[in-house]
Amino acid sequence: MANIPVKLYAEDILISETHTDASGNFKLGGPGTTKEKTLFLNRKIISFSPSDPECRLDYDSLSIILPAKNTAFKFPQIVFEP
Amino acid sequence: MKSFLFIFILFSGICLSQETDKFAFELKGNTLTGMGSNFIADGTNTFTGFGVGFTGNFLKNIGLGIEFNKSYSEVSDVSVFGDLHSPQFTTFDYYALYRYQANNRLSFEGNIGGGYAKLKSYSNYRTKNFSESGNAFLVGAKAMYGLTKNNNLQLVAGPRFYFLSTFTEMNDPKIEKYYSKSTLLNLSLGLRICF
Repeated sequence: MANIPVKLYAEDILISETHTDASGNFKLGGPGTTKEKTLFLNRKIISFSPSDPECRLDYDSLSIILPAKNTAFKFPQIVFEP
Repeated sequence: MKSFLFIFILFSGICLSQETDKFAFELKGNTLTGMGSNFIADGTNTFTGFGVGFTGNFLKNIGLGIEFNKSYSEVSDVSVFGDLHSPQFTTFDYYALYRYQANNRLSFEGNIGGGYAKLKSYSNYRTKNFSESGNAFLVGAKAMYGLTKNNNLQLVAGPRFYFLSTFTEMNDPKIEKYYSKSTLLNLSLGLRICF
């Protein structure tokens, strides 16, 4: 899906933001923190395939929570509720 | 006594070889642009700033120099650089130089050396700034043109490349390279006072 806003938070601090491109891909980078981070997509996520198995869905299914340990994550696929 | 003797010899050595200007103080304006594909090139605009430097020639054409540079920019791509603003790039450089006198007005200088670099940015959400530091390898050239009869005041300009390595650790080598290795092109224009 194209042109969806994607935001990355550490607690309530916005670290980085972007939009998905025409083919639905996105890249995000920002200043490092040692805390858990939230990848906020603001759409109901049904499933996703993370590079790190400790990535988990937030309780409201609108975000993916990234564990504190890693510094780079890849998601080959994120599936939204239609 | 030994150290006194050494200082005396060194001092007299400098005084005796004072027939040409040996030292120079430099004040310049800088631009600094990230090149290639890395977080500075993709994430920031061109930096502009100032620099001060000091050089000394110890052998005939060979000398040493130190420089302090500070430049300011803005974030051009938040998705690359993060939601930060007003990045500042500070370097402390030290280098060896070779000077070639082309004619009685014009001379050229080649520089090769290293530097300590710091990239500091500010966040909208917290008072503490975000900074990262690193080491740089530098290579550059300068042209000097004498403005006064005795060449005591010179116009100086030239390009310089910084090959910067910041201390950033990531578990993905490709992403780590993108966020830790960058090449910067520096263009400078300034004045040099020789004495």
